[in-house]
Amino acid sequence: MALPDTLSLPSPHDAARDRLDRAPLGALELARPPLDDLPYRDFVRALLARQGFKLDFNRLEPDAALALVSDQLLGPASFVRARALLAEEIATLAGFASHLAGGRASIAIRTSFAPGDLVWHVDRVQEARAVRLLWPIGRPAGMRVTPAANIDPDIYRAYMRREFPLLCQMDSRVLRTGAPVETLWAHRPEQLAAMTSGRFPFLLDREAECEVTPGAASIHRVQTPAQPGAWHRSAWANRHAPGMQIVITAASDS
Amino acid sequence: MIRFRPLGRTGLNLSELAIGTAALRSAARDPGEAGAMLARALALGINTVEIDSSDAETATLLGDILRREGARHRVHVIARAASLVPFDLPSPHVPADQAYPGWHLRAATEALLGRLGVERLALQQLHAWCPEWRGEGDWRQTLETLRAEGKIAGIGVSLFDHDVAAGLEIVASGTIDAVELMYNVFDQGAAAALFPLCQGHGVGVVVRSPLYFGALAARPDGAMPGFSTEDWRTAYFYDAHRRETEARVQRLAPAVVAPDRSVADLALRFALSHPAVSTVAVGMRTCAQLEANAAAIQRGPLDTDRLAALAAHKWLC
Ligand SMILES: NC(=O)c1ccc[n+]([C@@H]2O[C@H](COP(=O)([O-])OP(=O)(O)OC[C@H]3O[C@@H](n4cnc5c(N)ncnc54)[C@H](OP(=O)(O)O)[C@@H]3O)[C@@H](O)[C@H]2O)c1
Ligand SMILES: [Fe+2]
Repeated sequence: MALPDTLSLPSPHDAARDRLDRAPLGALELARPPLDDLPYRDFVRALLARQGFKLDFNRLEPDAALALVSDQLLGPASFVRARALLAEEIATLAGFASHLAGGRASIAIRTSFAPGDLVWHVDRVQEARAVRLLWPIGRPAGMRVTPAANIDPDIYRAYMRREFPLLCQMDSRVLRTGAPVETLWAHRPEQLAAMTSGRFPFLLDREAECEVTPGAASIHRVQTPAQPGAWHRSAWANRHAPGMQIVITAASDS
Repeated sequence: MIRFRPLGRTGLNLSELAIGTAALRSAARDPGEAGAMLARALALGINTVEIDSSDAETATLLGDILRREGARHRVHVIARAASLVPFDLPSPHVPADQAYPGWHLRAATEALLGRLGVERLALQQLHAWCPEWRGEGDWRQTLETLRAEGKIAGIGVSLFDHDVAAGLEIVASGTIDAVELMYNVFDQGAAAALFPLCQGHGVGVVVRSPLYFGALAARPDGAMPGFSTEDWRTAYFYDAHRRETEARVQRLAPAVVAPDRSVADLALRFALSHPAVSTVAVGMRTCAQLEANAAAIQRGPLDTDRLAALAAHKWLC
């Protein structure tokens, strides 16, 4: 099932904010051109051919951050024009997210796959209002979203008490060694099956999920002490082709 | 014969079997049986008890027994402090000075000493340890002062279920005396890197939950006991978890050979088998459980063939 709420950019900020507040799943889809149509596709593909990485921009502007990874992974001064175009695009999206949340945006990119993302969860921050914009370039499957009412809270709590530390350990092993999830969890076939299918014991209706159109971006509510977050997971199909994921989180205390 | 092992470099020798008191909270409703179990344990020569510092009810019960048995001077109490900020999962975003401010650790330690009527705890520990806390707050300074004052013999951290990776840095730093963690047939994670590191740095190891909260002490057919509705394990072992656990316990049955009588016997001896382990804390409520567990532990570590066969049963690591 496709996500019921979609938005196309440019969109007036107030209207978009209102749409996100009312979205029943807490998430909106944002149309994006396919990778083949992007003027910086060769730059993205060159990065994807390298070993998976993760970079928090922190205080760096998008063009400086992209220059950093590009110089390091592809050699100095390569793809200068393409990376400027991509940086501009990221800056626009960050501005959009920042308006929606009414606060500063922080940006990260990653080309590695974190298996922990395969488990249904809400993203969390401590500020009052927060949104996350995800733009997965070149990922075969879209993010899945399900209503909060579809999660049994008691089973979820028990499940995470047992699984959370094991998921964190697996994420760091995969990032460090690139070892396949199937090997790392060969002794846990039931848990591995849940990761591949998305069917976890805490889901009330295992069919009740929507998929963001592959290649599209999405924006979802982050859980804070003041607002509920959107329940989401990644899909198994992405583990061998994690693409390049642009992650923009904007938050404010007002 | 109860045997003893050193707790790291603290100079203390702990009985290989320690009384885990988590299950006594509910048993406090039947203080007669709980008291009899504790008294019997002391009589057997068991000298180690593990307790949550915030569990005043159990501490008072234990204090009464220690006084009655005249055992205050010969018992080693391994304490675990509770965070001031409640959390379900390890929470590095809660800074150490909010979770474990020094004044809180001191207050918890002194209150526990008072309830137990003992002069010194074997260990005080920060529970659900997050590596981010290592350089934060005043917890370390406070515990070092308590150690210098003779109120605790050692400083430790207690790891959240299955979170062995969280202990690596602090053990390697050489600044703690002991670490408490879950270690059992299903979760053998600590044996890979953490136990050898503890051995290298002279850090003691307190194993907890060797029976996976009682699941490894199932009936002979593998079925887990029914837990009461107030028991947290009712929610923890939701249907799918219970089914998978029972199936895995059943698969262990063929590994039980004489003199062991049950999967529980095997599981306890497994937990004891790694030389890094100082003591195994088993949750117990009754004299029958104590006698069974003490008998198993007294048979000592498993031989290498049986240990190797149990490697195939790991699941929660
Ligand atoms: N809310 C929570 O998350 C929560 C609450 C309490 C404790 N805990 C944690 O869980 C831990 C408690 O577990 P544990 O470490 O004590 O687990 P454990 O040693 O693996 O198992 C203890 C349980 O096994 C059963 N048992 C012990 N000896 C037995 C025997 N000979 N025959 C049959 N059954 C036997 C008892 O169950 P019965 O009591 O059913 O007989 C006992 O409560 C504590 O250390 C604490 O950290 C967490
Ligand atoms: Fe997420």
